[in-house]
Amino acid sequence: MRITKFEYLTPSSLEEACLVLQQHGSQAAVLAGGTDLLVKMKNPRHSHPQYVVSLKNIQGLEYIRRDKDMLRIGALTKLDAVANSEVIKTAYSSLAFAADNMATPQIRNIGTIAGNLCNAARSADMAPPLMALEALLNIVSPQGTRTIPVDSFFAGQGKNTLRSGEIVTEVVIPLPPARFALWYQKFSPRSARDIAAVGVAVALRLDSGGKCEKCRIFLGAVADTPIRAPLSEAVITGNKIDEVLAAAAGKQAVSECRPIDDNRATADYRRHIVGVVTKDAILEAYRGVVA
Amino acid sequence: MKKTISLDVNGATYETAAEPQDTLLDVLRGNLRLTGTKKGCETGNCGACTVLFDGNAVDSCLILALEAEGHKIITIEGLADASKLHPLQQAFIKYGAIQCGYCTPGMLLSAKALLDRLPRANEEDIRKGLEGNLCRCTGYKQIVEAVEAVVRGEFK
Ligand SMILES: Cc1cc2nc3c(=O)[nH]c(=O)nc-3n(C[C@H](O)[C@H](O)[C@H](O)COP(=O)(O)OP(=O)(O)OC[C@H]3O[C@@H](n4cnc5c(N)ncnc54)[C@H](O)[C@@H]3O)c2cc1C
Ligand code: FES
Ligand code: FES
Repeated sequence: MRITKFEYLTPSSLEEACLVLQQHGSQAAVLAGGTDLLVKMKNPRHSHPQYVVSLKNIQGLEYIRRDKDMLRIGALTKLDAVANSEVIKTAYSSLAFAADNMATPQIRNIGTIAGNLCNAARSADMAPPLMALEALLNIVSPQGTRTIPVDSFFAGQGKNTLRSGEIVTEVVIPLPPARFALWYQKFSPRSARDIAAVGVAVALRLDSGGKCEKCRIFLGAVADTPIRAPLSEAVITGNKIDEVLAAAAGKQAVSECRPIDDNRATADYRRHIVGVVTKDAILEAYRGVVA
Repeated sequence: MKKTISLDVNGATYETAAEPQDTLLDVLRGNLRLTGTKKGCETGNCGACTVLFDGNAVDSCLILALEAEGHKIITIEGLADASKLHPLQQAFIKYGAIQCGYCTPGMLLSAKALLDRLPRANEEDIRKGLEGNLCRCTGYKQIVEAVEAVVRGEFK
């Protein structure tokens, strides 16, 4: 398996990296861990970049820290670090668990959190939980910096909304308010660690009376991009959560997804699973708050 | 265009010329003739190409050789010391954890990375730690038993 020839560039600052990216436009690609990029570059059916811009000489993009009411994760932070971070486990154990149940140990030691989002696979496991948590992405370019919500970052299977010259530098997650919990549940017919056939993230906040005050539900792998399920959220919001309500919300989620057939599951099977997994994820998130 | 790079492998420094598109796996096997690292799927699925990268198990088929400069790499050739096999190697032999042997170098390095982190790993930890290494021969049982034996201190 040969990779087509390319020019390898190693800028030593973000400014320089953005400039070379902008200069080469669609012919250049950022190299973070490379676990998605190199697999694509080995596949003759994919188009290949002529310039590969490695971030390896850029310092200070690998960290996880609490900063006031935010959790800040550097773009080059490895999935393994997300999985094992005490800070993340304390705030959102389900996010750490999601990272710990992606891919294999070898891939988690190379692949990065921003790479997972930028690759923009419909099944990207970091996407639904980060979207449910209202996480933001900080982005730099020669024009300056901007911040966008993760839930408006995906543009289609394999497509994100980055413009030429832009690099994601940081994922920012609000720390949990009171009576709040996140649950991410992934389903794959082969094994828990395989690419998701369906992934559902539920973020819930209860009011002091125990009713659902706010809820965000995101579905992965069942449309062109991870998608929000607003009708399903509406079933839950304002109500006391129980099995019957969660099942009704699951049913709504089935109507909101637009899955495809592929070698992991048929569209019909995915629709069925969306209902089951959404119900379970709502109940788990609920238990996460009341426990 | 070829570039001269310097790689730190098994504690020695190697100067070698690599193309940007060469993977670490290509250079270990082709340039350095360290052929204990095996080439399987080349897409991150099988783990035959596993090496330690700053102590962590990685798939060398998904790392460009040029990206490996400045990192400490351990291959299977670097696991035993001069006088004796590593405890994991002894255990794999004793417990029949090797059949055709193709997965063995990667399996051993993943097991080493796991035990360096979790010296008291239980069966579940071991199965999870070896999840990135496929074996078509053994059915995994003997491999897990061999690692458990090392955890118990059966091999020194
Ligand atoms: C065997 C195997 C199993 C896998 N299993 C899973 C799984 O279970 N779940 C899952 O979600 N994924 C899985 N993946 C996919 C992959 O490992 C992850 O998506 C990983 O997080 C990608 O990160 P990376 O750093 O390797 O990205 P790279 O390959 O370096 O980059 C991916 C894309 O994002 C761009 N990019 C990367 N970083 C930036 C940045 N900071 N700014 C702008 N653009 C950027 C690159 O140009 C490229 O287009 C698997 C991959 C393999 C090979
Ligand atoms: S050859 Fe690298 S994982 Fe299979
Ligand atoms: S011993 Fe043959 S693949 Fe494992």
